Amino acid sequence: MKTREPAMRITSTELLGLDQFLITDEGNTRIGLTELGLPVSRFLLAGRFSGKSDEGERVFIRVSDSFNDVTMTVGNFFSQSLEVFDEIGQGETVAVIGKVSIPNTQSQFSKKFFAESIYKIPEAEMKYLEARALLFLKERTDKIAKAISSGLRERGELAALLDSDRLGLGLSKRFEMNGSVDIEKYISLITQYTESLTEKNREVILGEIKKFREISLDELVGRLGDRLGRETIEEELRNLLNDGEIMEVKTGIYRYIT
Amino acid sequence: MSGNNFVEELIRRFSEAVQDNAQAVEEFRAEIGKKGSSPQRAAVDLIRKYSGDINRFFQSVPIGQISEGYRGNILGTVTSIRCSEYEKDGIKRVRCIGSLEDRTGRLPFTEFPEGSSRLSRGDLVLLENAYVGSYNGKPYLTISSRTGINVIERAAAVDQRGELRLKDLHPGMYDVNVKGNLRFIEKVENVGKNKEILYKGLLRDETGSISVQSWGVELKDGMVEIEGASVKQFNDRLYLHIGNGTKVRYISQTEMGKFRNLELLLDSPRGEYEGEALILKVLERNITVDVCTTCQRVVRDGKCTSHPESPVERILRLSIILDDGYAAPLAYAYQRVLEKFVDGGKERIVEGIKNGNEKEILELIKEKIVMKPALLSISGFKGANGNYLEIREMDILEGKRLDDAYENILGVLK
Repeated sequence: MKTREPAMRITSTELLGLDQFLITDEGNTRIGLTELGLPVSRFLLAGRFSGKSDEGERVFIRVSDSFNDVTMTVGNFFSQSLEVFDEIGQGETVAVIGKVSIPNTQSQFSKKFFAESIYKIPEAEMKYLEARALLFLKERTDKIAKAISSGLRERGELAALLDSDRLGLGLSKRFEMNGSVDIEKYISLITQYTESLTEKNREVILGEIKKFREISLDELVGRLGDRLGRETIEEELRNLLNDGEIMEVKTGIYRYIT
Repeated sequence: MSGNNFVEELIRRFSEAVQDNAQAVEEFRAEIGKKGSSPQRAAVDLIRKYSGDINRFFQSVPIGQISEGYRGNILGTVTSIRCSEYEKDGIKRVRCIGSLEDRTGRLPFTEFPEGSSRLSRGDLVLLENAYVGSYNGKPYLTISSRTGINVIERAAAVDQRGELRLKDLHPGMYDVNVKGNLRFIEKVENVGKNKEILYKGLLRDETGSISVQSWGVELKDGMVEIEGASVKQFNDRLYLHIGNGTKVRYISQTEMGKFRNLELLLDSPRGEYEGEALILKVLERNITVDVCTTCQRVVRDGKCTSHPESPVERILRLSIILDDGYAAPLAYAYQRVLEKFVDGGKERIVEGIKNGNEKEILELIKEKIVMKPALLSISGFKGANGNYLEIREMDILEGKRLDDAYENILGVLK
């Protein structure tokens, strides 16, 4: 029985960088292979809906996560009615299940992304799903670094390391094709993501402090705690104090230094 | 064939199987010369030792080469078997479905034993005069009364820890140690003259299931090791009796085959997964099933084979496609898990089913779960028809829980 391909939690950067394919054991299906050796047939991309366009009979949608825009064709694989797009406005947060198609008629490698389904989701869920994709990326880069340093190359060894036969197959193929795997770009991507979040948090907290002559930690947690969490607020307050942006006028009471 | 000729024939076949290895043949001669030895068993051991061709000795064909219409010997290991009772012409019969495997392939089979099957999971068996037909265009074996069943190597009914498989239980057995997945069914208070509490449950392993009746010892859902139980029979049906002297130990997560993702769970004979997955889709077919009110097993034709006298109730059971990024299997969620997603809970579901409004209930649930990340507890096993997964717990990640999960991930990323 043919099993449904899982939707890989992936960032746009890794998806767009997909540059090879592998043929599965089960048959002739071509599955996309990313630079990190992740086999991707189906993917889950969380981000913002950036628009829909019609070119003749073809419909395209664009979804952007924290890194890039991904254009997907709405075609045969789409399982919903096109009316779903009437309810999704530009900038709204969505989760898309998509499919990667690697045409086998081309002499050169080419790929297409097809939307399979799209759902409007709350912002918090979008952020969570995107963070999951980054977490999956981090887990893999850590393990690939281990495989490189310890010389693991066999499919079985890599499958055990990655807790997945599918992932083991993909990475072993990638090692076969390229000799090694460059993980630096993706490690920087994770750093870039966490730094941008920190920057955003810092700005939000500072903005809130500026609104008042003085504000207490508890008041800040009351206003921003749902979005940022107490721990993040406390950490950012320490950073702002160290950087001389704010002062602690009394214990737990802060003021912006003009 | 006289005794000597028979032995010579065995030696000739053995010699062919080990490519005339003189030392192996000598050892084989010595083994079969011992009093009470089993020539077939000795041959298996020595062919393995000398990397010979076991099919050659047993005059069988590798399973991977068997096609429709094959008649002859088949040698393989029983990798799965599940038996069920059915009634035909007023007579109760048993049907067992399973599969045989060797290094070259897998052959599904159906057996119609008289009484209980002689086959157990893990047995190496030689089927003589077997005839292979086809099902859905693939080779399929029906083990009939004309097929000779020769268990060459018995999977230890009692494993190294002294545990029995459920299939091996017989009435009258006592001080029994078994292990499996226990599902709590109900608690009945003030039973008997001593007004005791009776807990009822259902224990499953990959060989079958058995009702459990526990007097005073509380039963909960989970993987358990039961030590010192007895096997009793009521109305021709077996049940496991748990009394004061019985130990019920709930196995910790690390011991019970917890897998890190759904792909690993699907690859294993049985186990559990606890973690996040996306609820991709809820299928709209067969959204209710009939279950026996005594054992909660799904029944067909309106009657439980184990408790024909018990009433049958219709409950919600949804087929859900999950996706954790490693696999996207189908899993079943029974009514108990789904009640919290319907305002009005159990009563509203029961009322909905009674009035034929199951689809309305389904829509209410779909609205709350589809395309949501959820924390799930799933147990599963590999059966004759593929993987069976059951969702034991399901909590949608939303609100504070979602925020906390997000913060945790950020903590790891930083």
